[in-house]
Amino acid sequence: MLFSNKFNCKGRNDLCEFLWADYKKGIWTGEYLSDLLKIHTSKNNMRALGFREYRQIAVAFMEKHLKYNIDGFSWEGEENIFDLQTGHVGRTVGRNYANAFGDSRVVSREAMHQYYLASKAWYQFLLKKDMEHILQGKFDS
Amino acid sequence: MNHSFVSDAFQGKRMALLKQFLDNKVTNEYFTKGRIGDRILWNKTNCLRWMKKCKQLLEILATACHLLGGQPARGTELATLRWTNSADEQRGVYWHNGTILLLGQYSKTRSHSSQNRLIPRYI
Repeated sequence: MLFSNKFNCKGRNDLCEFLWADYKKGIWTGEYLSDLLKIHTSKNNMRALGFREYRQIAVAFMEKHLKYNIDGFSWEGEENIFDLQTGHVGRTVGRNYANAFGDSRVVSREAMHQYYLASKAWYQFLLKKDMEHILQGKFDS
Repeated sequence: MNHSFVSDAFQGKRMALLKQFLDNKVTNEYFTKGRIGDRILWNKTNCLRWMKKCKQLLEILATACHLLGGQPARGTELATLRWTNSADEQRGVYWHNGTILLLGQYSKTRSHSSQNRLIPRYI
């Protein structure tokens, strides 16, 4: 900041206020930041990913590896923290992000997961009852 | 206004880095051409080279923050982050829970709702 003021650089005012800015052009646009990600991803042997593409991929990663595996703290009321951090409510994320070939157009991924949990709960309940009967039978005989 | 977490952490030390540069023989020779009385004659070429390096470091940091802060932000959300309070908007950089917190204050629906959605990302 001191040097950019001293040498009267074009970006000096933005440097004093914005986090992502430089002495030459001042504040960086979203597009410029997105291009940076493209450069870094392609430098690391990946397909060049801009912010838009990476947001889609990050949602897919999150749903596969994080959302349903972290208990307790990941829900804020009815909304999931991961979805909120994406800047959306869960319904929007389910509808517009990381849609895969096999996803239903009628039922959201979130609802599908809840149905899966419901089925699993029944399965476990019945299995438990079944086991109790078996064990009881064993003890009775 | 103009308050940031740096203001508290580095109170009275805002010129500490510059002082170090000028006290150190190697960096002093790099950044300056000498002095006339109290006036420092800056080596503009090397100062600009330094600023270019700072820009390159910031570019890496911006990408790292985007990847490590949790669910990634939109471009506009990241671009509008301020490190210091201003008349237009509160800053988006804080020190919290022993780490840096970037507080996104952008919302796609801001123009309709006149309200920002706050999205914290710890890095």
